[in-house]
Amino acid sequence: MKFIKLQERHDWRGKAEEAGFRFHTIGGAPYWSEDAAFAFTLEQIEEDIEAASEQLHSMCREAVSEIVSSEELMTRLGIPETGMDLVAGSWRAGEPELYGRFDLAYDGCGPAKMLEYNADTPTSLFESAIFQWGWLEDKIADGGLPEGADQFNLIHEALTGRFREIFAPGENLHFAAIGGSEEDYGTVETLAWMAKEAGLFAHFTEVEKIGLTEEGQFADDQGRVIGALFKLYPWEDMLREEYGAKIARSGCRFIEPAWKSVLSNKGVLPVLWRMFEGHRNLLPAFFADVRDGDPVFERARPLLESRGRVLKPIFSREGASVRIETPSLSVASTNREYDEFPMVVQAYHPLPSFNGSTAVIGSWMAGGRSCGIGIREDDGLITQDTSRFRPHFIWPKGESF
Amino acid sequence: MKRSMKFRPVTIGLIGLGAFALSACREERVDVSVVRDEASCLDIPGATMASCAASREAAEKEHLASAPRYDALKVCEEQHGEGQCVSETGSGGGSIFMPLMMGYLAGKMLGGTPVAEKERRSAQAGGGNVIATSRPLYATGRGGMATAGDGIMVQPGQTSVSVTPGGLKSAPVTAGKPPMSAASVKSTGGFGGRAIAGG
Repeated sequence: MKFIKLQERHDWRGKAEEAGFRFHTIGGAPYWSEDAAFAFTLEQIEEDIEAASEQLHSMCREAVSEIVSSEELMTRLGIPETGMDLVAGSWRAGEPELYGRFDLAYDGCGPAKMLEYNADTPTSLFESAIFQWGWLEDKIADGGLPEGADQFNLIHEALTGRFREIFAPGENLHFAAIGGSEEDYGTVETLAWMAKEAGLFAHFTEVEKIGLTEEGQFADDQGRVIGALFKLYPWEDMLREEYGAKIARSGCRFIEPAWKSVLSNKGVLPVLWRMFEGHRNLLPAFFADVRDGDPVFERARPLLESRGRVLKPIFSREGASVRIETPSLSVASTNREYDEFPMVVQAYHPLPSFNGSTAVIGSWMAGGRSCGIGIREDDGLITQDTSRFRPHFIWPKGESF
Repeated sequence: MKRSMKFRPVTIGLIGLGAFALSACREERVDVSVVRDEASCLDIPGATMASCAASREAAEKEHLASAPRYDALKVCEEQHGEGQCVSETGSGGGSIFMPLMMGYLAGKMLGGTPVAEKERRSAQAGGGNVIATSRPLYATGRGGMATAGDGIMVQPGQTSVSVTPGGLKSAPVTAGKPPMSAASVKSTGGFGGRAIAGG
């Protein structure tokens, strides 16, 4: 994995605007950044990222199975009592998952480490699946990258295939996002294209405009019954809001299913560590109230003390309320929005640093299949919503870096 | 290795271009063909026997799902003309009537890709699913044809019509009263308290 400076496409801003990718620059700061790219070898992609992501996903499913059969664990993960049946029921019914994005710490050497699983509402899909691929094609065409350069990006095809697997052709699927967020809209519309290619009918409604009918079904902003709903809105919030209690009897099928709420939850990290202690792709993690003398904790203590630890609330988006404490530094994110929630402690694993910035690999899943990556970099140690998206490519086999 | 498919329809994935059936942000108009029978389907540039069969099948599926339904033969015939209505097969008591499908609209996709081309790609990609751009047409009882709800009108002899991208959206499902059926909403705003959702 290397950071390679490249010429920007002279017209990329025009291309972004044309594609409706208006958030390529956010608040005057670049978000899409193509003055350099990350290069990987095929082995790095296939063994260290693809295989690891698929294994992590199946381990996560095992963790879900464990969590939903324990009221105590669900409580620790902040699932409200009123939502427990829904969460556990969706798992037992085998409701299928659509997509997710692992955030991995990986520098090209040694195993990738799972930082967390954005299993419920991952964004940055358009730039990962579509705009990044356009960049590769253009760079090969303008000679900036060798003819054999490739990209780990089957996101569009894999998710289209996943829609086909989990829906019958011709079904109606509503997509809901918070009104006024261009980024969120970009993600749901990208998914809607895939759904459409899979033969579904896609409809959009803002989350706030979802209504409840006399019969207790959910309806869109035009009063039409919602049969299946993709919601780019976190389960942990839905379960706590007024309509949370209406979900069970709404007859509405949710994507992601309710059981995803235990994965998009940092509380799954200590559960995973206890189930798969020492796994090469996991970092030691514990609930913040773990007791001295707990054998699993004691085995990890030397590492936590020498390398440091990261405190994360069980629910958090965009790096909010995260704190890093190591023997030599202490940093906290400025956004403290999620401070009220229980915390998880994870062993600190430094993110690879390139050209003065840190990089996190977002590894996309379509069902249980690893299908591509999108890399975000940040000037600080915590990846926040101010991070930049940087494209990647796979170096052609046989040619050296 | 990862990307064997180097083609991707150029319109796919463009934000704001109307992946959503009902939120076309730009009202571009596209021409769609009026198909009355197989021969008129084969007249569409690029059409093949297979693509015509597929678009017909899509139209029939859409017809079953969203044809206008009436609770009396007389009401149906008032809308669609005498002899144009049948009782719905499988509706049990036979008290539901719907018009016969007279033809369908099978046009170009949003970016100008002909339906046949799109289907070929779709089939090549291994999916075999047809994008349902076919919309059934029913007699209006006044000589012409129209989509369910009279959204798009077709005059006798007309071979193509100009529609907005949203015009090819599927009609609300009317069979069995489930998704997309109109319902009276008694409250809204029970979701959406948090301002940032994705991550």
